[in-house]
Amino acid sequence: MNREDDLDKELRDHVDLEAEDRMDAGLPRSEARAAAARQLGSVALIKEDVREAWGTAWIERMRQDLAFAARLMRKTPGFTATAVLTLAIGVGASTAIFSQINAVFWKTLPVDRPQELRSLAWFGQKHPFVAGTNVIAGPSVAGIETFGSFSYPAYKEMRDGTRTFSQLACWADLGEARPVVMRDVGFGTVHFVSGNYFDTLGVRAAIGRILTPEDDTPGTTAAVLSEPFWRRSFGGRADILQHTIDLNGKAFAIVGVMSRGFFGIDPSTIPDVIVATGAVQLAASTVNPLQNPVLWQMCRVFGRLRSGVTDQQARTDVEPWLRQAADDAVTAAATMQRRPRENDYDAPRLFLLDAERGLGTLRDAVSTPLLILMAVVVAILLIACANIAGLLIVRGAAREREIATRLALGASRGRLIRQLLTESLLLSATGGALGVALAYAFARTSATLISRFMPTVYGADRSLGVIVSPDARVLIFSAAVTIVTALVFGGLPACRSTRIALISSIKRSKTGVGRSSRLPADKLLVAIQAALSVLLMIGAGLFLRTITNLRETPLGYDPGGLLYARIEPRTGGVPSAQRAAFFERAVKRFETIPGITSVTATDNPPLGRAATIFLGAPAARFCMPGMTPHAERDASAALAGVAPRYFETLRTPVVTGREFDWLDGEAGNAASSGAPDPSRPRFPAIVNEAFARRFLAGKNPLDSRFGLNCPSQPSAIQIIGVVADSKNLPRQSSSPRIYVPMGGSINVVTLILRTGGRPEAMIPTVRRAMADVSVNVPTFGETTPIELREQQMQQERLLTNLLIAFGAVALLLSSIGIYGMLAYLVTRRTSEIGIRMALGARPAAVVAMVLRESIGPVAVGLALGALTAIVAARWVNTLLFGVTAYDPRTMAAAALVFLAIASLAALLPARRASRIDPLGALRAE
Amino acid sequence: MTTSAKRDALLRGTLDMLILRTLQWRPMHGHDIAKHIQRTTEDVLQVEHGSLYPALHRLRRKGWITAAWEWQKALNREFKFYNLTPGGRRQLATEEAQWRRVSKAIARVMWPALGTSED
Repeated sequence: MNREDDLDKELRDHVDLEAEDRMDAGLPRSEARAAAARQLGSVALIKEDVREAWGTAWIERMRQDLAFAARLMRKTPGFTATAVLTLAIGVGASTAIFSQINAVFWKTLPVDRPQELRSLAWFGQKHPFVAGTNVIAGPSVAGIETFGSFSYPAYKEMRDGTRTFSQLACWADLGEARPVVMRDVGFGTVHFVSGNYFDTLGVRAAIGRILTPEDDTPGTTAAVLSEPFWRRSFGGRADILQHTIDLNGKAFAIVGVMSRGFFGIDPSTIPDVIVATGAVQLAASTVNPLQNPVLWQMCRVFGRLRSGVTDQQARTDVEPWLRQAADDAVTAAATMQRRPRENDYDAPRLFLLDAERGLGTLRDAVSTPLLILMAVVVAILLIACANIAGLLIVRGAAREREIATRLALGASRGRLIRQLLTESLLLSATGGALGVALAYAFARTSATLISRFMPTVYGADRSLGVIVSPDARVLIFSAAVTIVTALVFGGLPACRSTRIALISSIKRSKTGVGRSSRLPADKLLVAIQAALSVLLMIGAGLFLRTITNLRETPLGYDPGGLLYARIEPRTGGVPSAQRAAFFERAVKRFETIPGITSVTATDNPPLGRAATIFLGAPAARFCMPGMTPHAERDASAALAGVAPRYFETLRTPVVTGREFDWLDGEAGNAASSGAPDPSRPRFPAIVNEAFARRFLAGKNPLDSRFGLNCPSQPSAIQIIGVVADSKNLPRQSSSPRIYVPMGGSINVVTLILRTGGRPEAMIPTVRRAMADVSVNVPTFGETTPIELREQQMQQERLLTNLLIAFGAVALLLSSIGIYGMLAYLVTRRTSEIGIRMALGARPAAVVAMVLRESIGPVAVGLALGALTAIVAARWVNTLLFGVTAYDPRTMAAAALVFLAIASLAALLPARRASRIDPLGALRAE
Repeated sequence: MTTSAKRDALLRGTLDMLILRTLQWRPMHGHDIAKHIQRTTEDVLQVEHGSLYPALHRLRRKGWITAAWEWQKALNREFKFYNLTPGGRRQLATEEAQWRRVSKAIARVMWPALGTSED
């Protein structure tokens, strides 16, 4: 017999005995029983008190409350659906964004003891030991913009010298500037790693083996694949170790496949194929990067600290070796350039950075957009809370009599508040569970979301090493959000609706006028919703204008109608001596294609993703007779090799002088072979207006000469033309540029075709035409500058789309909120409105009266939203383009859209009020 | 919780003590206890039957009384009988002493002349 039955029986016995006593005293049976029951009192109340004594009352109460709440939810499906959906959107969106933040900021690398890993960076203001700009930016440490890469000799010094690191490893991602062609597979990201790389990370291969120091030789032919690449390109075949992969024409034996979660150490660049640094020559075009002491892009370095070593000890241990390498490089640079040794330089300072969560590149790049999104979803969540709170207040009003009756029957106010909060919690939990389910579904695709935030230098749509899987932290977050949400939206209405004057509530009819309708709570809620909605809409508007501006900014050339197609003649077996002729042949073949107006070629096309990261740095150092630069950047300009008709094809105006023709490219070759053409400059160049303004002020550019081989030949190059400025990216300002005839040393050339119609439609024709030129050199990476520009704007586009979507949700929710508030008001004031109408108020006046009630809170909300937008502006300014965050037009537009939708929402109850039948309303009283 | 707390504050001291005292000589069931208290106080203390059961369960939880279903031949049915434990006996002694002290103190305040003369 359980405790409840036991108690039931005990109480029944009591009544039986008492009734018998009374029957003994002469009362008839039925009366005796009634008296006995009366004497005992409310059985329900006794049971509750007894349960209190058991200490289990709260369980029972909760069960009751939950059952009651569930019944209530079922009885009002409209309200329940609205609230649950609203909450699902709020909780789901915040869970989704939070799981991204979790993945980017908190997840550690899937390697052995990640907390021991450190990545290395350095800083020095004057660094003549680095040739030009050949170094990769590192993270910002305490306001210092460090450098994140080292030369291979410097890496070797540190690796061999250190006593505090058990291992120091080097890796390089050559980026898209030096693509590695994988025959039969296409393109992929190749990482070049030192032999101890895998050992340092402490990871093993899933199939086969990892690379070892024995693999790291110039003749290495061992390659390790990443798991996704193995699946994608080899169909996940089990006999993969029997296969080879062709990288830039060299066959590599596949010795291993990494496990699924492995993505290296920088989540922003994940390798498809990993080979030893010994093989780097296959992608480098010039001197051996492993021996070049002034090329500081070769190694990104990380290491594993020995146990018990502090960061400070490690730093003081390794820094001298770095300084030694830098000093050697200063000497080497002087020898290479045949000039005196530069003794005035800063010995590099070494920085150690925690690498347990991977390098910070990804975090730096996506943190602002992710935090903006987090703020946006918190705003949505708040709107949802305010909205449901408003609905609950309305419902609380409808339940006023129920609540008053229960209070009168002896329920305590605390008990009732608990009951109402249980209802909120049940709603919230249902919505939250739905939201989390949505977020989980979303998380499957959301690594792609982060990849869209990556700046384009890493390339669009690249897969990232981010594991977005909801974990305990995310679930705790969602549960907390759900509970807090319930308390926020349920708390206020629960307190309000239980604060009732008992007698008057019960006695009064349901449409009573006694209570003032000027209660601020519901209006406050409407104001909050209006403020947050208009804030989101201002944000959406700003980003909308940003992407429009990005699309419309003149770039100095006309991207519409252009088609890019790349070719890589080296793997096709075209030796560098024949490449200039090969390019000419290709261009001339394309010129015969109907529908193509002009064709040119370059190694550095506008908007191309080339050349920002590795080796062939786009900036070249130059010198001029009589010019003494103060700093490195005072004598450097972007360099591009271009074919004839380049400016004609791109529609960049030639200001003075002329474009190159095919003879310009050959003039140098002819000259070097001993038969100079005296009418042509031996080394011609074209510069842009920014170059002429900055370096040739007051001179006739066509009389000017400069040199790229400094300082031995300061005037070898003759300027033959000046062209208008053009920008690579809309956000950049015009910078000095030098164009030279495209030579034969180039590996990857982009052919640029101006088409009459849709450029994409020409791709098959272009491929066939290229096959005519050479079957071994196919075109690849066909794209358009328009497409590239859209890809570069991905971050802005995505933020815009999300802000528009969230803004629309916010608008919808606040409209429901306004509707709810006014509907409530009309219900409460039906009889008043009836009297007014009976006294002759016209329907229009009634509509106006109701609308006026919403003007106040909406106005306050709009003002508040605009103010918040101004305060929050600083935060997004860096992401905007061509519009400031204080843009009054955007604010006005957002406010107008909000007002338009809000007045629609307000009109419904107002019209209902104007249709009130005066007699009916008064009779109901 | 507030409602029962109020009732407790009013009754706990006295009702608990009265129940323990009633059970001093023999086990009884709930109705018996109520009737016994009523009878012995000559109906001055109307025990609210409703508050008796929560009190019984409370005392049982504290370990001062035990409960068991027992067959009563006279009525030919089972009743739940409450019995005093040794702990309950000690508690009764403590409460009795305390009650005596308090009532004496109250008496001294209410009827000072009487109280001093009695000493």
